[in-house]
Amino acid sequence: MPEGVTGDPPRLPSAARSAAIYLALPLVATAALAATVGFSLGGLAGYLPTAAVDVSYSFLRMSAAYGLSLGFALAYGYYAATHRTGERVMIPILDILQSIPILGFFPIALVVFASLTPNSWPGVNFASVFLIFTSMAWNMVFGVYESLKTLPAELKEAAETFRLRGVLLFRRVLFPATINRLVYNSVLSWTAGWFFLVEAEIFSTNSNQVLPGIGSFLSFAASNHNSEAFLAGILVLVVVIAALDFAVWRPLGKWAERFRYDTAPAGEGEAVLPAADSATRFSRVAAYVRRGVRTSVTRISTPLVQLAAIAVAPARKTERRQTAISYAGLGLILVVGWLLLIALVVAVYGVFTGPILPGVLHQIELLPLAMGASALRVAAAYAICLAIALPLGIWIAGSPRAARFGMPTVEVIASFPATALFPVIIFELIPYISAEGAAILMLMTGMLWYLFFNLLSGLRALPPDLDEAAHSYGLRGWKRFTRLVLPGIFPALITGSITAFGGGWNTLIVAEYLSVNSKQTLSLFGVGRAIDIGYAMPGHTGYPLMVAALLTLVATVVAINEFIWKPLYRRAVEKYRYD
Amino acid sequence: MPTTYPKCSPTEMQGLLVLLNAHKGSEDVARLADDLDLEIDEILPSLDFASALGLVRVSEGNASFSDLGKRYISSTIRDRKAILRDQLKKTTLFRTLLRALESAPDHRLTDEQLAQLFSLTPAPADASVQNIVNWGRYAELIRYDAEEHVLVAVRHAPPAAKPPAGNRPPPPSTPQGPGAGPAAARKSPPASPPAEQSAASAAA
Amino acid sequence: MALIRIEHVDKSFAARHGSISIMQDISFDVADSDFLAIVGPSGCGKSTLLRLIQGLDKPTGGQIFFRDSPVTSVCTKMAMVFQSFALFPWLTVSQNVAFGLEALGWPPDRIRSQVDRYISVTGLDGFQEAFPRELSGGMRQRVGLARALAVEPSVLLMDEPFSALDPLTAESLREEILQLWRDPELPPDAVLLVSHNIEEAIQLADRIIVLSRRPSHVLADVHVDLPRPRDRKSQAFYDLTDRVYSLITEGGSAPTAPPAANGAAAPQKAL
Repeated sequence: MPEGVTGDPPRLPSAARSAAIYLALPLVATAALAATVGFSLGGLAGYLPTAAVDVSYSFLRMSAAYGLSLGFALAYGYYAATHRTGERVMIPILDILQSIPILGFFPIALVVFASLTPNSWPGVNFASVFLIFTSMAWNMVFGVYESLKTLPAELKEAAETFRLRGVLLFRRVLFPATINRLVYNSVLSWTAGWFFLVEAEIFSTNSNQVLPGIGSFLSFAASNHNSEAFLAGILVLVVVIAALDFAVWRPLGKWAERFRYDTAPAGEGEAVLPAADSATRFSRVAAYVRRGVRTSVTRISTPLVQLAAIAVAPARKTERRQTAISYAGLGLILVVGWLLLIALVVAVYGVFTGPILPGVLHQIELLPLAMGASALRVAAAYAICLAIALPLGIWIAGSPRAARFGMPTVEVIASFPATALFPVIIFELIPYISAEGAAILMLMTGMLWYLFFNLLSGLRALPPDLDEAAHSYGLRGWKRFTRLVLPGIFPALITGSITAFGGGWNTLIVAEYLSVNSKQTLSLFGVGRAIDIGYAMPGHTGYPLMVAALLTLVATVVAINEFIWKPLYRRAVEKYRYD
Repeated sequence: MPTTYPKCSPTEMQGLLVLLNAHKGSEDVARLADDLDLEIDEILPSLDFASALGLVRVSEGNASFSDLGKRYISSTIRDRKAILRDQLKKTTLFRTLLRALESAPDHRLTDEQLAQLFSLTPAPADASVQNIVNWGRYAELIRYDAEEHVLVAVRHAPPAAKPPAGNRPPPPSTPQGPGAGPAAARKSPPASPPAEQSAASAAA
Repeated sequence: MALIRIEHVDKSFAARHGSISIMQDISFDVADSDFLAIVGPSGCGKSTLLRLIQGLDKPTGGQIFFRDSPVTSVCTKMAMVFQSFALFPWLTVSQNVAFGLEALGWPPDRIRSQVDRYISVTGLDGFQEAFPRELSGGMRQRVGLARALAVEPSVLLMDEPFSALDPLTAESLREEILQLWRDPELPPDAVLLVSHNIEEAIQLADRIIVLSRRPSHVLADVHVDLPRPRDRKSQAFYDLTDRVYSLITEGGSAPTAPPAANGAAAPQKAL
């Protein structure tokens, strides 16, 4: 047995490539825009200071939200992992929170926080920090919780045999055990955080409570067709994200390797893995996402389905029938619950505030239709994403050369918050691709990467011996794809779809409606717009619409998860597992 | 001495010596392997390196201890290390390596440079580099920075410079190995006198 | 005075329907300077018994005494060596060895000298600053051993310590264990080794407790009085191996049979 000196694969080449791409992409984009729109470099430079100030506001918000998330994740994850009674309640709650479209909360958070503070300025900021927190915290909590739960029993026992307790136990065992997952999930959290931060800031330009930040900066620049300012903003944002990646996340990630406890048995380390494979952080992050979704999918189904099963079918029947009945019961509960809640909102508003305007009431009645329109939009975006992600994934998974240059490129693009480009999509592209096209394009940016990274890790996990066997039997082309690839990646496809749809729901709120400085350029019939206009209506007259639309969205998302994804997922895991 | 690369760990090689000692210090190689239900090629790496270090002689399929091998097996863990250190220093492999470290800037060599030195394929594809590093580390001839994958020269102090651990008893000097004879068999007086031991064995 | 007394210990685990009995009415003593092995078929609860003895788990019935006081919580006068080594991957070799001493609240400078001593004793010099993942299995288990010995336990508990290692490495470490055990300056006063390898047990131990299949009881308390170093090729070694083996296979086939400890142990004791 060799005495394994294992360690991480050399990262420098990959880092250098990423750096080159970080530099090259904005240059190419700038050049392309220069050719089409025309602008002056001097003008661009003039906007840099303002953009830098605005991006530092955004960065402060991110840091505050991250600090909150970190503390929350450690406390919540630790408690849930160590207290059995707490676990039984806390983890299902987290699962439900995780599956609710984060951005849906933003208008409500705005209203709540604004009402808490007499001056609306801190309220808006608290609301946006809260929103970013909700986009960061859940996966970090799961990271802490799962690292503690999966800590090998003999390590816990070893600590126990020496009676390690309290602070020492936390410092020597429990905290180190969480570090690796925490760091990797933090990378993911920051990526998601930037996405929603920019989205929240753009959203804020819908009202008079504008959040100073890079998102609103870009939004105003685009609404004025000021390409110099817009490019300056993008440039500053890219620099900040790239600097964070190189100065913070890469070194931290390297250091965090030390805290992995899934060490291979003696002698075999990951040193045997081809370096190109393990060097990509995002594919590893994708694996975490996948695992997280997998566990939460299986977990979330339990409380909800069981609830329905208890309510509807207490007696044992045949398996299939029981499942059917519990699903029917769940559907009924969702619909009835949704109707009751909306009735309650309308009634409470009517009693405490005043009669609801007929226009608002009419919009509420239209909500199911609006939901249908939005769902179609998300489904269309999903279909296009799949048509892009699958060939791209097969290409990158299949060719080492494609992986060498494709992966860093994809990583860099994926780490950039696509929401920053929304203003330019809305204000520049609508004439060419229509409002509907722009909305679908924006939805895609929120969905594509989840699908792509999941498919890629699924493709990479295909056992080579199966591929060889298929090859030796002459299975090629389309047949190879339908017989081998598709069944092999099916579980990954499902988890990718779940996360992609989650991303899609989250993007709806900006993708269907935007008005900056009363320049209303985007307005599409849908549930996202209903939330927006409910929030933006003068006075508080639109609030019932906002809440009702949000409830509709949540009920739909839960229903789609329960009725489409989870059964598919369970089948995928049972049928197509090869490990 | 030709350059022989270790293809086993120090602990593994010692296992072979212990096994050989259980066979009274000389045995047919195939029988040695058979004793642990191993294939011959599973003990060959250990055997090769033990003979490269002059601990074991192999001729016509038979392995036997050299005098040094006998001394090794009857020594304490610490003294065995000293023997390994002295023997490793004599190998072409470590002479070359230590000289290269001596002349390297800062007395440091990377994994790649080490592989180049011996025309080996660099880690992690080949375990040879890792094995060399681990032998060097075990014998305290080199230090290793696993984070940077760098070998560092050790200005080696004589073994006596380090205070011996505890008041360890002198090693039993019988060639048959540690613990030979009933007196050494237990830290406290044996539960049954030697005379009855054979009686018990006979009864069984 | 017996170092450890195990008196009529039962252990059962709650299962979906009622409970599963793992062991029934286990009784034996461990004396000072005993090197005692516990063998038995897989699933007979050998490892569970070891955990009951240290107080990591509680017996369902009966009692365990350490130096005449009942074991009610984790006993830090005992230390465990694990099958899978159970090293903390984020701690260096030195920090892993210091682990138990920190828990005992030793002052840092005393910890340092103690750690140095046991690193040296186990042949880990040169690897102080290494992380477990840089080590081979053999070196990892030495760290596990050094960590356990560093707290100077009265009893060293070893749970299949060599079964995750390749045969030559295991052979090597078995010999080193005996070397350390022989040293009167070093802890422990007694060793309890759990093993599924009968030859290993006979090679190392002075006494072997043979357990039956689940629910397990003590089939025999076999004294190994072969001179050291033990010659695996000798007739006496063969005979003893054979005897323990047939005890396990025959005893296991009749799990309802009452404990047969005394009867089976008698001929071997010869005292």
